[in-house]
Amino acid sequence: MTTTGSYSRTKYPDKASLFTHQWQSFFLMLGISLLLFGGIGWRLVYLQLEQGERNSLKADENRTRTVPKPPVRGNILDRRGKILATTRLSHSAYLWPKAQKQENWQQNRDVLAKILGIPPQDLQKRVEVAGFNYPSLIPIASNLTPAQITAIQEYRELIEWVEVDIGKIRHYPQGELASHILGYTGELDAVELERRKSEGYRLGDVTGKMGVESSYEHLLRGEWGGLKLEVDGAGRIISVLGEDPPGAGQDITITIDVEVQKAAEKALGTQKGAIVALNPHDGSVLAMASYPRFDPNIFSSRVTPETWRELKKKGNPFLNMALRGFPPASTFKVVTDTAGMESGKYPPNTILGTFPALNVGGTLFREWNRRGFGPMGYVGALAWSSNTFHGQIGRGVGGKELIKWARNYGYGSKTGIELQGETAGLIADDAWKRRNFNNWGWTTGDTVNMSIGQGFTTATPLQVAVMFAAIANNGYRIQPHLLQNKEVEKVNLNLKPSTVSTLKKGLRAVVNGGTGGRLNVPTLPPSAGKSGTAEAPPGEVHTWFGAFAPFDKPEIVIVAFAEHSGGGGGSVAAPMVKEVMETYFNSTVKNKK
Amino acid sequence: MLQYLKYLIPFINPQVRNWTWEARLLNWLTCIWLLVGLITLISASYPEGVIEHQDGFYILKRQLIGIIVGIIAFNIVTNKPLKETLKISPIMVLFLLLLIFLTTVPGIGKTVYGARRWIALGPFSLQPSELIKPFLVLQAAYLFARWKNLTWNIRGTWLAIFSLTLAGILIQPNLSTTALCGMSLWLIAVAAELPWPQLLSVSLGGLSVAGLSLWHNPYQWDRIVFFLEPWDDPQGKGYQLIQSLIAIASGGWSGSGLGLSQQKLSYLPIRSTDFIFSVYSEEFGFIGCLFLLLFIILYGTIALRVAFKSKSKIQRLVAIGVMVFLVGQSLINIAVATGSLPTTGLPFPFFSYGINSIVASLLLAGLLIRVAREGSKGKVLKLKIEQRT
Repeated sequence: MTTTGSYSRTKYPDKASLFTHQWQSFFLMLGISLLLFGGIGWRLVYLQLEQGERNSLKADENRTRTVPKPPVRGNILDRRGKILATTRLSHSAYLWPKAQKQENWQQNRDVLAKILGIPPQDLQKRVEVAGFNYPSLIPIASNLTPAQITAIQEYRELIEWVEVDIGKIRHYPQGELASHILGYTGELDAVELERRKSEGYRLGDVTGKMGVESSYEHLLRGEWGGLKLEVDGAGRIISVLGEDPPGAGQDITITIDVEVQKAAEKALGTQKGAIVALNPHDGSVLAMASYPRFDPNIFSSRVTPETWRELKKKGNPFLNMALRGFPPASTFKVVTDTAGMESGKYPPNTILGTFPALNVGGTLFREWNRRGFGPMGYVGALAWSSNTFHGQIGRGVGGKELIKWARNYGYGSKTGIELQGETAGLIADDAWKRRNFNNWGWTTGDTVNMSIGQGFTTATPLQVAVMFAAIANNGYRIQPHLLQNKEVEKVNLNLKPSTVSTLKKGLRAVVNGGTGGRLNVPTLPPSAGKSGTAEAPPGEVHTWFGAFAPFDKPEIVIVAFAEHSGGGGGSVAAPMVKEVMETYFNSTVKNKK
Repeated sequence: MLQYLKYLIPFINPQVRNWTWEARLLNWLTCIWLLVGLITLISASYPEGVIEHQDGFYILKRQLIGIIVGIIAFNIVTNKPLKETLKISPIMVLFLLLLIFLTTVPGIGKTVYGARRWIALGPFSLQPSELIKPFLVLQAAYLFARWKNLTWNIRGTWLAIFSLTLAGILIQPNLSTTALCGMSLWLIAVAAELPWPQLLSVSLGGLSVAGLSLWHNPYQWDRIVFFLEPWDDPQGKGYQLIQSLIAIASGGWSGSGLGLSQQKLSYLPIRSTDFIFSVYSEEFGFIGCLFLLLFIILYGTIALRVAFKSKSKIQRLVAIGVMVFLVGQSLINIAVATGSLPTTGLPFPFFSYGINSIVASLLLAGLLIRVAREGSKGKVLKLKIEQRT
């Protein structure tokens, strides 16, 4: 190969030399080119032909945004179709963080806070939780007054990142009625949002916080829809591509009867306590009143500190007294008698003497009239609520048998009603006592105490109602529930018919000539019941009355409980039961059923 | 005066029919390349122009200025004997080398995307690292063709100048252009049949310098690593490449059609320059890409044919140098856009927006065509040159 070098003519390379150095460089370049062409060609086949469709979708996703549209929450209706909770339109203010320019945020934030009447820190927190790059609107206030709307428009220039829109807020047309059952709704807080993000919840989403609103959240909530928008890379909207309408939440019907509920709440008045009314055959709860109450509408918009203080003044208005445990007192004697008869030790025809007091290991269990009633059977002992009669039965069958029957009736465990915050009450036993009392064992005194519904025993008004229902329906423990037509379990307690009929006779006698005389009125069908007066030192006594009616074909069980009311079950709680019963059996109410 | 007007006429030149067939073919291929590139650029840059300059044709207008300047240079080079063009190449290399170093001087150099590659000239800017490409080819061809007849003094001087050029581009920093220039110089040297030991030692030196650069500029290393797994950081380092891949891939078989790329609307970054191929392939699909690749192969093949048919070594080296710059750079650009090579900032010749790039590409193409003209039938041009001078 000649390499004369300069830009003079060189000879065209001869064939032999082509295979030497010159060709090496040629092959080198050919190799590099082939490598590059091959690599690129393979890559293009892979990208465009194999992945083409998938990436086409990705490019589409790139240019579309979904603006979420919230679903309308389902209504809550009572058993006759009366609306208990619904959704109402109101003017709401939304913040659009993306439109907000950081510089004057502080100052403008305070302007907005002033208009809305909320602390600026609240506003700050909300935006921080969402992040300043949050893609959609953050609801900041609902139920705006016309003055507030005008003010927002007036300050438009400062707060152009605020949108006023018609929003939906939860509305409870009955106000405070059944507030413990309905519960209330509120926005998810940051912690909850984090926890429930996987379920599709978003910032500002309204969820049930208590009661049925919370238990049946999954039915009421509905599904988010969305507006599909075409946007450019900077997020500017080019066009609307389509709408995926949100799926409305389901309406649910609950077993509550507004009229009965109203009567129960009226009967309770401002007495701290609870009234439960239920159907003894299917366990559907017709009314569950508890005082103090609250207005769930408060929570539909932002709760101001004043409102909160106002609420707190009422004690604990969120506590559902029907689900808290109290000493069941003499209402528990039904359990004692069941144990007596079912154990075989004290058959239905048993007659026992009653005394001024029962001496159990040196402790005196006094008869409430301090004299005794002379010899009596189950029916008389229930009618007069004899402590010494039931003390003897309890002592005779023993603690274990008593505890067994208490638990059979459902005491000591939650009924499973669809409400949060239910307590199990307490049916103590030896093990429990040893755990809690320095290893002291169960004594006969404990048994006797239990047999009259005192001592460690506590029961919720709802549990007491379940017990009365079991007598009314001839021996089935029903499961109280709130959702209409819910399939629930019914547990057969396998009571002897004689036990049931004896108990029924006894309870009927209570109304007919005993402590429950207040119910013995011609305006009501014949009923049966049992009073209870629980000592609750240092306060006044708690009073109870549980009843079912009509006696022959029971339709309703009503239990009233008044905390620290003073007086007696027959004089304080029985009139409450009567009031509810009157409403229930009032022809207009009943016919509509 | 009038005689200079002919330099403004693009491609259609009455003398053309007297050229060798390779020269004529290359002339028209360059014209097609330029036109297809321009059409793609219009499509790719229109949305960007509307958004950023309130004028969809803003970028096109600037590119046309580059094309006018480039065609003048192209016509001068194709009509001037290579010998004469070679005479000014040492001066041009040294002048542009000076400019390359001036870009690193604060106040003169313009910083874009963290790199100082430009010298502002009113509304335009000069990118000496682009413009030096054709002159590097000429000078390298001139040096390596005569290598065996030169003293180490001269060899050393020019090698030092080349090294300085590469170093100057490297510190801008512009690793990809440095690598491209380095590889082109090396391939010209290979074609010049320099002894293998010398070639290999130079390539080793180059590689170690590249390694050092990577070590100093971690961002380059990030780019190199991230092209393998762009989905690891889709909003960050991998963003460019992912958007490019989405664009290319959504082209499918036949593409979305001219002007209908979704990705160019604003998702795809630097869509008028480094990633213009992504827009092309989204709009023209696999078939369009296949045509483009075949076109580049054809161009490269003819360039090689010109190289082998050329009568002098220096001409051959010029042809090979041009081929490496035009074809090699195109392939690297496509490889980057398809995620086959690490993301680098190399423009696609004749496609990418860039006045300097288009002028340099047209100059390179002009050199190749000149070599082709001087191929076997030299007499025709000789005559023309006599007429002109």
